[in-house]
Amino acid sequence: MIFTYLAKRLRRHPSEAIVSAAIVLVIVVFLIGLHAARDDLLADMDRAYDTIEIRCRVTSADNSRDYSLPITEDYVKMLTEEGGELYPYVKDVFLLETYGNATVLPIDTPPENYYGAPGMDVELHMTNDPESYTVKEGAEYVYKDGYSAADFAGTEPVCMISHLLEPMVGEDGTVIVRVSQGTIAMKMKVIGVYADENNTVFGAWQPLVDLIATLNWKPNVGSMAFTISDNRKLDVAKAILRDYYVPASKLNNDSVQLGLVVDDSLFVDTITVYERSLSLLNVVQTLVYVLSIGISFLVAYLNIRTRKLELAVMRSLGTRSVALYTEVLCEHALFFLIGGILATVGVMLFGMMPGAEQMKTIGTFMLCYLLGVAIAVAQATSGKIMQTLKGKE
Amino acid sequence: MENTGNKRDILTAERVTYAYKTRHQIVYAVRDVSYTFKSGTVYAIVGKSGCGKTTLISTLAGLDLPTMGKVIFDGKSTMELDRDIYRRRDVAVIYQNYNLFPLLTVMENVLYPMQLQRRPKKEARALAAETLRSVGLDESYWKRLPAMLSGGEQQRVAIARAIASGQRVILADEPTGNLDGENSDLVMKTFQRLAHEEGYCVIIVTHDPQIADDSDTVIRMDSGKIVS
Repeated sequence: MIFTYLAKRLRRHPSEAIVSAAIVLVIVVFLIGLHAARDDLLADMDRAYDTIEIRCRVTSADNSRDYSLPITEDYVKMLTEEGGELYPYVKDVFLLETYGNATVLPIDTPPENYYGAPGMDVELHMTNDPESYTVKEGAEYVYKDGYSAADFAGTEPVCMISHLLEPMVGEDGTVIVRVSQGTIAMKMKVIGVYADENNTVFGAWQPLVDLIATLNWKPNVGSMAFTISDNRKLDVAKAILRDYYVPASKLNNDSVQLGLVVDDSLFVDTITVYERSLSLLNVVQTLVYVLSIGISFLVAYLNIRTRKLELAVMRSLGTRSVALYTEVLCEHALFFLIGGILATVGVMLFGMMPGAEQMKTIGTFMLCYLLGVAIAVAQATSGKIMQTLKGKE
Repeated sequence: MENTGNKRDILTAERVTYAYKTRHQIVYAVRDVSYTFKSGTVYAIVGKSGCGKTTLISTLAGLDLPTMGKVIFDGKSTMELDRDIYRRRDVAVIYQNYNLFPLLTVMENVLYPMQLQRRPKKEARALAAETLRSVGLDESYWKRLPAMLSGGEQQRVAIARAIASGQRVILADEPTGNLDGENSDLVMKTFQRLAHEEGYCVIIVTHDPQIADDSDTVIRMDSGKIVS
């Protein structure tokens, strides 16, 4: 009976349904749109968190240079070895030692002549990532096919040489590099050329460290940089870094004071903009949410008030209150569903896919809308029915 | 004209008082009214505006409960009855402004109370058709919406709605108030026929002296009391 009556009402007076559904549609579109905007913003912020690299580098305390620094082994271990205090917060640790007094020997030099043989003096950089060394701006790294900077992090003796050293490369693509006052030398595979006017050689870190270890020497790291591994933990990482900010125990005896630069300005600026937008959107969203609830309540309430006489007639004919509420609530739930479904389909056509969060919002909105209906029905059927029926209210 | 052969007590107001509070005072709309209404009779309740006629009707219809006293239908107090069922099955109210459902046709309006009673569709339809014919509305009216009818026709639809579902008591609150003389006469004749030929108890609240004259019994009210 409820649905027969409802169907007749809808057929003969669709404007009420259309207006109610249209209002619901607009509000639902708005709510979904706002949610989508918020989701987009959050996704962009997530992307910023994931993609913006926060590089940190050890510098001299006055920040005048970030190479030829007396960084100790302890300091390096703190960042590079499992169990190190900073190890969980960093990645892509860049190490470099400028090992200046090296020599590239002619390729036909026999091993027994390595000691004392004449060659070309070079500036040797031991590093696990030559590209992170940016002393010379605009320098271009050209790798041979199949090679990249990543090879410097391995155990193979590879190197990149200044283009001025190319004549020293043998047919097998290697050069002989003599280190440490000419006492030891190593054949290194040339995997790239670095265009500069100095006789520079970048040699892979680990093989060279192993080589000089044979003399019981350890490299003094002269340049060090790293990236924060998870930007979401930046604050924690910064707090820890602050604790280890040039700790006195990590300094060399003759030490230059060290500093640590955390280059997070781009990240902070970006995230600040997102966070501001997000908090603004949150305020707008809350306002729209409250407004939507208010409007829907009002629409339902006013709609029912215009039917006060009809509801009173129903009551006077013996319609139970429960049936009355059911009829009106079903009717408005239907209006809501029509509006809600059209809105959802509409936004989906525009490529927005409402998620669980949006559905929860719409559900709450629907409950408030129906609460408005229920209160209006209660209000419309309270008081003296006879007065209403006589048209005195 | 009055059919005296088939009369029995059907509705009784027993010391009915209805009071309500306003901001400043308690208003006694009906005071200590006792009266027994019989089937097969047309009653006219007359009196000045605000004398409590409509409130009395409202309590008789079970739309309000008396503050004191009781309304007894067929031996049972309306306080004990399920008043939704009471209104659905036993009493019907007719109003000056007809109060038809504007979005239902004439037939659907008459069918509505029968649907509440869950009568079988065919039976309900046949009964509604018969009732509509009995109030002078033939098939050509049945699919019309109330807005397409004259006042007199709408009031006859309201009467059909009131009697189609078997109620034996018709409470009419100024049913001819919006009608011209001819239509008033027609409606009154319908009430008389229902009472005298079919045994209905018809209680009419009216200001119209003609209606009062045409009724079997006139009840005069003043300040919430029956005075004669």
